[in-house]
Amino acid sequence: MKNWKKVIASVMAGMLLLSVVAGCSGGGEKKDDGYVSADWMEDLLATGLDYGQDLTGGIASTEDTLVVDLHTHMPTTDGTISATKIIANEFYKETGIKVKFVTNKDLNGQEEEVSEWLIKRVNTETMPAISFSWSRFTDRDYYMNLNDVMLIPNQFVEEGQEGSEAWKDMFPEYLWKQREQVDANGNIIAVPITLNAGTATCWFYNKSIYEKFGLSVPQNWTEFLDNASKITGTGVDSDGNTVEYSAIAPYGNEKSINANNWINTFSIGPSFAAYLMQNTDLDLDKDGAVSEAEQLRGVTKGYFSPAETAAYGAVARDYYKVCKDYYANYLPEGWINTDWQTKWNQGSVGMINNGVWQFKNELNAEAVHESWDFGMFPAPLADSSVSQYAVDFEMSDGPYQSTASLFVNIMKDGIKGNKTVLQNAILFLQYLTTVDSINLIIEEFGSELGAVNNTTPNEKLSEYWLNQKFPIVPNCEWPDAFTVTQNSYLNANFSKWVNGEIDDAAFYAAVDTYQQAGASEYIESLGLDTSEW
Amino acid sequence: MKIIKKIGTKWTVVLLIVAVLAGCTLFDLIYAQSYELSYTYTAKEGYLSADSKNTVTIEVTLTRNGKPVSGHLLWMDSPTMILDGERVSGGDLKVNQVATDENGKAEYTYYPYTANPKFKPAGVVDFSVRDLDSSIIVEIYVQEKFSLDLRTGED
Repeated sequence: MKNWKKVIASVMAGMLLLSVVAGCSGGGEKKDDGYVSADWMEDLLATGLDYGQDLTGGIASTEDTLVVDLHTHMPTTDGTISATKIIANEFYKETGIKVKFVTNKDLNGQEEEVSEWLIKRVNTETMPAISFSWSRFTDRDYYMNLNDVMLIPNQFVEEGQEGSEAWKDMFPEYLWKQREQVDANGNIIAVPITLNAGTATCWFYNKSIYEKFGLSVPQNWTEFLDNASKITGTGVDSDGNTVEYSAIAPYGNEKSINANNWINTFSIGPSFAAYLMQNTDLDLDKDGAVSEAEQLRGVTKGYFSPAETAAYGAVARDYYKVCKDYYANYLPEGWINTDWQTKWNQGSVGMINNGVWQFKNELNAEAVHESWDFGMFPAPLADSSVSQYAVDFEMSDGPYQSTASLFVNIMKDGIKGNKTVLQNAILFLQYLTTVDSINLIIEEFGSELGAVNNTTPNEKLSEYWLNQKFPIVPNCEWPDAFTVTQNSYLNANFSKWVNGEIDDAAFYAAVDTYQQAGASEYIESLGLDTSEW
Repeated sequence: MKIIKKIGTKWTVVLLIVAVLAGCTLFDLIYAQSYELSYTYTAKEGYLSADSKNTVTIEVTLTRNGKPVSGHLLWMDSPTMILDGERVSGGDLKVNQVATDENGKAEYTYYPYTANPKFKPAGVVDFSVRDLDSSIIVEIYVQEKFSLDLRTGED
């Protein structure tokens, strides 16, 4: 009897031991509740990951509650944006990790407002673990390097599916060359969630005004300006008043003249930068895209300099003249203080600049202004009809290699060496970037595409916007002055130049001064190795 | 005058304000009640489903004393549904506001959400439409609430 007890005890102990061993060795296998045990985390930490271990003080998150900023994609109280809340709730059910969205960020804020908000988060030790800031502040060392993080399997993807070996595989490869996701050192710093639907910005146009003046949708920047110059005189607005037509209305939030405005960024800059890409070694690695590091190198080599002595000075001078032409000759006096949206709604504006996201509001407004309909076209690109230094471009059926719209960083100041918070942040981002999650987000948001492969565009967006030709925008941008401080100087000088307060020579000198200073500061803050430049 | 003396000037003013407000509310309530909203719908595929490609045309009719009312602006809230006890989006409308035509009809296009077994199964979606021009003073509108039960496929 005693022997039987010993045998049974030995067998049970053996089984217990086996189950423990099996549990330990099964780090890569999924648990019943859907996500794997944290062995991957230990492997990741062994790579020497910098997750803010040298930072001290508090963070917004706790070990069971992750504080997250998804900018305009955070849930609203009226339920109109609820996809991220649904995802967060399901994530909690699966992992036991609560997600708390920030509520104190100005979601209409531009670069300066978001910059101030981030500084305040650092100072008050309340930085969220995940945040959105256009990856604009790499010089402040906010963002975690995600190179190794993107190589781990997505814990919420089935075996054999894209992402089950490396999370990075779920995304189109071209995204890992774009500056939204990659810093000047070539390191991945952001995880893309959604993409712009072809172009980030577009122009809405009044079809009645277009018809009245016999205009057709412009295919390039020259045609766009031609259309603008034809919209003149007076007409009757929707209230029956006789009003003077305005050909062009800028984006409503544009209340100052900046060198890095939407026009320069999306319509003029890429074509001129593409000329430099074709005629110099700006694209050093010849991969067809100018990275941030290559752009910095280009500035230090003077490729973007408008100086008379610069080898490609004529390119830069033409670029800035085309930019100035728009502000000086096409926007009416007093445009900064004009309520353009009201004028547009009244039917006296030919074309108004906005984000693609505005189209739902325009559809609604159409019911009010019964006498006219709107149309929309992608931001028109400059080409050789503008300048010999602006390259021609091709068109594609539907969007081509769209840039990211929502792309978020893991914030070192929101982690400060806390392994559990880091693990929670990675798990939430992995959950957020599954096909199901992203389909839910883009179907609800309505004006964006999914950043991972195999997602389905919103039906209304497909019907009204995606089924048209889009310009294939060159993979390069005209640089600004890189840092917030130097940009403020460059913008001030651009404004003075446009307003005729300084002459060409003074402006060109200012461009050189502030771009070079900004590039130097940026290179130093990132610790870029420039020895091969 | 005796009443004013009895209850005091202050309370008289307060009572008058309350009476005016109540009167306005009652007027708007009666005015709104004279209107009636009704709806019909047709789905592209002939049946309701939680599939954004299977768009649904919702026709709302506004009448007053049985006669169609034209030129009124109707506002339909973006559809919602209850999921895990919380109100969330139930799909999308092409537009929220449409003016009634000469037959008192306003046509809405509803894009159902696509059922997502993990996050959002097919379910009942709630709609609410009101006539923005059926109120004169205190914004009491004639309103119609209804629900559409979305299924997966033809189930």
